[in-house]
Parts: sequence; C-alpha cells; structure tokens
Amino acid sequence: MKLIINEKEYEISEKYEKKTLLFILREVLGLTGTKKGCGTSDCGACKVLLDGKPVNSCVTTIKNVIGKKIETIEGLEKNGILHPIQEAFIEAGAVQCGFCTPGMIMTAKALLDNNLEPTDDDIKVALDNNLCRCTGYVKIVEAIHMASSKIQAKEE
Amino acid sequence: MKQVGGRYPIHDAYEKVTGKAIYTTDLKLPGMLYAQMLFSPVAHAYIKSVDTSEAEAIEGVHYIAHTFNTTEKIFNSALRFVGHKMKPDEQIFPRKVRYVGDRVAAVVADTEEIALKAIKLIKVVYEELPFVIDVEEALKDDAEPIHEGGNLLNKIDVEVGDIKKAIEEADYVFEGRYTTPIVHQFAMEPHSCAANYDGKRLTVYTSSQNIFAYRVILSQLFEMPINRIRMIRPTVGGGFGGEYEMVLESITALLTLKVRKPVLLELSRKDSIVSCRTRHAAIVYLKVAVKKDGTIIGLDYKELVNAGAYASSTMNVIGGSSSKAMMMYRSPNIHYEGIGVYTNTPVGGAMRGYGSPQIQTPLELELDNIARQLNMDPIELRLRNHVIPGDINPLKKFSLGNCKVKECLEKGRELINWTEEVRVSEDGKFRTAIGCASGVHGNGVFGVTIDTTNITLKVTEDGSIILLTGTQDIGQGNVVMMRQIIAEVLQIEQDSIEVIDADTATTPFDMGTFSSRGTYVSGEAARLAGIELRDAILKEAAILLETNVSELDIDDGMIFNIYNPINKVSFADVAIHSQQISQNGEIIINKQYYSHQNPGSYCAGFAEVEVNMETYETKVKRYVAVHDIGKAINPLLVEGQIEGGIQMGLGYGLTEEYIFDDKTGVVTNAHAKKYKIFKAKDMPGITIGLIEEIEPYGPFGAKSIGEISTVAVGAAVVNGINRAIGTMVHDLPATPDRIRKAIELTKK
Repeated sequence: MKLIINEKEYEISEKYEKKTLLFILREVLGLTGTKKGCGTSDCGACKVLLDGKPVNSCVTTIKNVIGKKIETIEGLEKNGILHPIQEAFIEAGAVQCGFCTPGMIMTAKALLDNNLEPTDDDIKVALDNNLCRCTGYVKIVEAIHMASSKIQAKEE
Repeated sequence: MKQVGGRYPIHDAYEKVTGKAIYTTDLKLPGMLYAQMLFSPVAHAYIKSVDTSEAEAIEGVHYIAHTFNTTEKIFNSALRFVGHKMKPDEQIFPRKVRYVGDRVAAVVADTEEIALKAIKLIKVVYEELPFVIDVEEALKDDAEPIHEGGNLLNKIDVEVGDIKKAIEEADYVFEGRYTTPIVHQFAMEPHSCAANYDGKRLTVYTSSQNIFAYRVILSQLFEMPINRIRMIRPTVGGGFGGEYEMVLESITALLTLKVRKPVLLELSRKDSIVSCRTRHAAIVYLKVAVKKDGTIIGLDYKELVNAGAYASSTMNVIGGSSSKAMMMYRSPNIHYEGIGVYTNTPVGGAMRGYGSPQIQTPLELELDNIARQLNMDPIELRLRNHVIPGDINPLKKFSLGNCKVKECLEKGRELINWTEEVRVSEDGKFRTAIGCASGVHGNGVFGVTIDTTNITLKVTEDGSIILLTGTQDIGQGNVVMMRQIIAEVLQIEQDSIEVIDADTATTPFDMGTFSSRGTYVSGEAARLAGIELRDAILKEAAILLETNVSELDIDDGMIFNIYNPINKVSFADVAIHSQQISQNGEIIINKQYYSHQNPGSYCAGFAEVEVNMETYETKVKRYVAVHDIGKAINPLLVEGQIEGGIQMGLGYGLTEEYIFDDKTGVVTNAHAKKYKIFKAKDMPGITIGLIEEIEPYGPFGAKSIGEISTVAVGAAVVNGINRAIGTMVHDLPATPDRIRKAIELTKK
C-alpha cells in the first residue's frame, strides 16, 4: 500500500489494511504531530488534509487514502521556514496546551487554501469540528485572520 | 519595564505548531508495552471473583492486575505532601466497586489491540448492591453505605458573627435552593501515563500538575524510596485541575514494576470523562439577610457536595468553598456548613475554581433576585456590599489584599453599556438582557497548608541562564512568566534564559501547579531568586573589575561600572572568572520561598443573552470580563486564560453536565459529541478589561488569573437569562428544559 504524505511516498505493509490513518501516522510512521483526542471524529485533534479537504484521521481507513495526497502538520514547515498559519498561531497567542493546535492549523489551511479572505463566520463554521478547551477560540480566530493577511502580503 | 507587561507567546509554541512537542502518548520507549483497563459496568458491587485464564491465554498478554493480586493499601489520590491529612479510602483495584467506571483490572500486552481483546475476556462475578446517585438520597438512613461508616464523608461548620441573630434582625430574609452539576475538565488530551521500571528505579512520564505529590503516593504504595521514583512531565495537553489527583500513575507504575518493561496506558475519551476526576456537583441552601437599603447583614450557606465514590479532594474543595464564602461581601455574620457526601458516581476532584463556582453561583443568582425584589440595580446592590482593600477574610484572618472588585464591576458596567432593560423582538420570540456576577478566587494554599516552592538559577560558561523549577507548565505559560521576570530583574533578553521544569529528579521541590499559585507564589520566588543571582553576579564582577558592588549595574546583559561605563564585563566573563580564576565555583542560587499571604483575585462578568421563547435556547451575544489582576506580567497569556475560562464557564452555565441513567448509574453522555463543550460558533464576542492596581507581595504586583477566569461566568449568564425571562432558574446548566420549567412554574 502506497501512501503519499507531505509529498513523500511511504510503503505500508498490508497487515495494516484495517487500521486507521491516525494509527499509521502515529504508530507506524512516527508522525506524532497528529493527535488523538477522542477517536470518534468529534474533536478534530487528528485532523489532516486529504486531497486538500480536512478529515479526521481517527476514523479514516487506510484503503480510503491510497493514492491520495495526505498533508499533516509535519509537512507545513519547509526548509526551516514556518507556514504563515503556523507563524500566525504563535504570534496571535493561539497556542496554549497545544493539543488541538495541529488539527486547528490543518483545518485553517484547508479553509485558507480555498478562501483567502474568510469572515469570522466562515472561520467559525470551518472550526465546527475542532474543539479547544484552552483558548475560547478567540485567538485561534484572530490567528486565522492574521494568517490570511500574511499569505496575501506574500503573494503580492 | 522592558519584559514584564510584554505580550509573549507560550515558550513552546514553535514545537506545538509544528507537531514536534512530545506529549505522553507520543513517547516510544524501547520495548514498550501497552496497557488497557477494565472498568466496572455496575454502580455498586462486591467483586466475588476475577477469572483471567482466557485473557491470559492470548499471545502477547504479559500481565493482568486486579483486586485479588494487587496491593490492598489504601490511599487518597489528592495527597499533597508527607503527613498531609487526607482521608484514605481508595485502592488501586478495590474489592468493592463503587461507581460505573471504577477500576477493576488492567492488562499489559504487546499491543493496545491485544490488551483490548484480553480485557473483553476477563470474567468478573459481581454481587450487586443498591446504589445511589443523589446526595440527599445518599444521606438517608436507609441508603446503602458506600464506605464503612456510611455516606457522610465529613462536614465542616464555620461561623463568623452570629447568623441566627442576623436573620432575626433582618428586614428581609431571602432563601433559595440552588444546584450546580458534575462537569468535566475536558482537557483535549485524554488521560495517559507511561512508566518504566529498570529493576531499581521507577520513572513515570505523566501529564500531571502535581508530580512531587504523586511520587510520595507511589513511594507509599510500592514501598520504594522516594529518590528512586522519578516523575517527568512531558508536554501536557491541558490540565484545569484534571491532572491534580493521581489516577493512572499507580496502575502504570504497578504494571511496569511487574513486567519490568516500559508501559503506556492511554484512556479513551469516555474513560477520561467517567473514570478520572470531575468538578463536584453541589446543592446549596442559601439564606441572605438584608436590610431595606440592601445592606447584607447575614449569609447562611448549607452546601451538600457530591464527593462521588471516593473522598479524594472533596473536603479540601469544601474548605475552599468555606473560605470563598467569606471573601466577597462584607457581611458581619456568615455561617457556612459544608457536607461531603459519598454517592455511586464518578469521583469529584480539582477543577479550575476549586469550590468557588459551586458556592458563589448560588449567591450571585440570589443577589439578582434580591435586587429585583428591592427594586434595586443589581450592580448597586453588589457595590453596596463588596469588600474593599484593607478588609480581611474573617474566617482565616488574613488580608484580602488589594481587592478591587468594585472597580471590576464599575469598569464592566461601562464596557457592556449596562442596562436593566429587557429587549423583546417585535414578534415576541426573542428576549435579550444582560446579567452580571462578581467572582473571587485565591492565590495559593497559604492559610490551608504551607505554601512553598524553590527556584534554582545558574549562570553557564557562555553567560546564558538556566532556571530549574518544580512547577509545571501545562499550557498556561508558567515558563514564559518566569523568563520575563528573570529577564526583567537581570536586565537581559528572555532568549538567554532556559527553563527546565517539572522533573522530580532534577528540579527543586514545588507544591504543585494548582490553587492558582503559579504567578503569585512561584513567580515571586523567581523574582527573589533573580535578585539573589544578580547580587551573586555583581559580587563576582566586582572582583573581576576590581571595584565595589555598589559601583556596578547591569544593562543589556553587561555588567558595568556606573562611573566608568566603558569598564564592563559580560555574564560569561563573570561565570568563567568564578569557576576558573577566583575559584568561587559555579554561580548558582537556590531560593527557598514560603508564601505568607493569600489575597483574592476578583472579577466581574457581564453576559448579554438572548433567549428564544419558543425553543428556550439561549445564545450568548456578548461577554465582558473585568479582572483584578494586580499587574499583567504577560497580557497576551492573561487574555488567553480569561477567554478559555469564559468558554468553560459558558458550558457550566448552559450546556455541560453529567447525565445519569437512574436505573444503572451509567453516565449516558460520556462522549466528545454528547458532552457539550462550547464550539467556536457558540462563542460570544468577548471584551476584556484589566484592573492593574498592584498586589503587594506578588511579583511586580501580579496575582492569579487561571482559575478566577471561569468563576463568575455561569452566574452572569444565568442572571442574564433570569432577567430576560423574568423568573428564576435555580439549577445549572440552564438548559432549554430548565428554562421552560421555570417559566411554566411562574405562570402557575
């Protein structure tokens, strides 16, 4: 089974056929940036992008991701340079315990990749499947706006 | 000031946004095995037998622990230090299970999958007993005793003044019965623990707020010397009190001691909700004696606190309630009776606010009722009665500090554009109103037990600084706070300070990261350590520069002669001189600190709510939080605490509670979807106000924010609802069902 994760190909043994993508990422490939918060698709801590769309990897089976483009939190920093969303999460103070952060950032990426100027409501709708207990989401929403500006500034 | 007051993100934000931060379940120790637990499916029963033969026959199963092969030692999971008087009533695996979710057995196996399979094959014979969920039922004579001696765990009864006389002499006495629910800390990281016994030393990796206490409990349970138990706290995915009492560490330690290989135990979300710790539910019978002008002359509380199945923190939480009952309003007569009651429900423990929301919410709701009855503005009623600087806690006899609760109310009144008006939509469907509430929480544990911490500071050969602390950064920003303080004292950049925290083998003793003691106690300890380190650096620099200490100062990381600033040396020069030339050794400070004050941190919360009169659903439109913070060391993280506290408090007021099946004692909503914490789209617009008027004895005038941030929120929201609907909801959370019932009751 061939998986494409963060533009890299991985060969996964057939014995993991029935496992979740989250299990493969964390337990087989050591990509532990993706977190397990509930295992029931309700908290978004395990969010990754599948062909650009956010999915909960805790309920995504391997056979459904073969050949698709998988993005995880580990793929965002390139050559030691943070993705603007990562920068914004740091600067806005959107990170406290950090357990929801990778999932939040992946959801934000999917949003901004499709809608570079989201409104507050767009952001809150996008975050509907991402729970956070530290921040009240306030600085997370701020960070996503800030990331939007950063990306636009870069593109100009 | 350069550093204190600056907005800095949490120290490990980079690691957290890149997925590099290592949490407990990210650890992969060589040869690690995986544990899983069997929890009781019944609410109350003797375990007659446990048959593990089939489970043990599975390949890959290493060991199964249960009540018949495990130490029978009894402990209390909330023990803070050797000699701390806490009722021991808990066993790792009890012979009698006392709630659905109690610990029955643990399997350690090659993989989690095998362990889960084995769990299902363990055969347990239960002899079931009657069970009780309700505290008032549990106190009845015919209730089945959950522990020897019955269901009354303990009680405290304290009084200042003469409450009986106050009630006789009052113009009015208002009475009410209020209830608050069991709720969950709901840290995003489920409870987990890894442990490794190498034949001599036990190392435990755990998302704890209380590592020094845990090692004492483990040492007593397993009869091991304390110095061979090492507790290490990896990155913590949220605490909120939920990592204060020891839950998984004894089991994981037991398993690794048996198999002598590393063991990881990770609970599911459901088991984290049911089988760890919760906020205690409480019933409060309240009497408020007032004069015609609204002056409170008597407060009489009777609080029944649901301990759940074991004592754990319960009596301490009740102690916290008793103290907070004395810290808000200047009533000359206050009586508080707190009763801890065992029931067959999940165990109550520490949660952000630790007894404050349970005791303060009822009074804040009743005050709004009183204001209505007396035709007074509820803010004026509060302002008339609030404590002022110079007041003391009449029970504990210590100062309330620079308590600025009136200023919080006044500032909040402005920020929200306060009005008592209820706005009704044209079609009559929506009613909108503002509710307010005040809140108080403490700054440490002084007055209850000793409150102490130690900070070690040293200068390395390149002049960079290492700070060692036993306090635990659990996402709240403890490390940044200490770095800012040290950088301020030493006039250096934060980047040149590295903080090593929370490892019992390498960092000095700390009481634990609880009771909002981080900034006020440990921050002040850090400041004093910084001053001592500065003195030590200057003393050595004086030798190097052949001058007197009094002629030296520090700026931008350089020590210079104030009369001849060109004559300067770096921290590195001084450190190397001390080690190699003068042979005074490493420049190192160990500051031992005892806090001898425990002022209040106050707040006022204002919630604008809109009640849908057809569905009885509530939407919170705006929330204003004003906090008496003394001095915000780091406003960015202070705001973060307040915003998170509001999220938690909104759930307390509106959506969060454990729901039980009366027939089985099962928590029916122990699930990330069914247990409703506020989502992004549920959050109101938030405005924060800070009153920064310097708290004496706090570092640079600072005091706590972590716990107080949530205390007033539920009450403010429900007061808004009560104003909007023109009647009283007495029970939290104010669900549509409870609002509907309150309205129907008024119509009758």
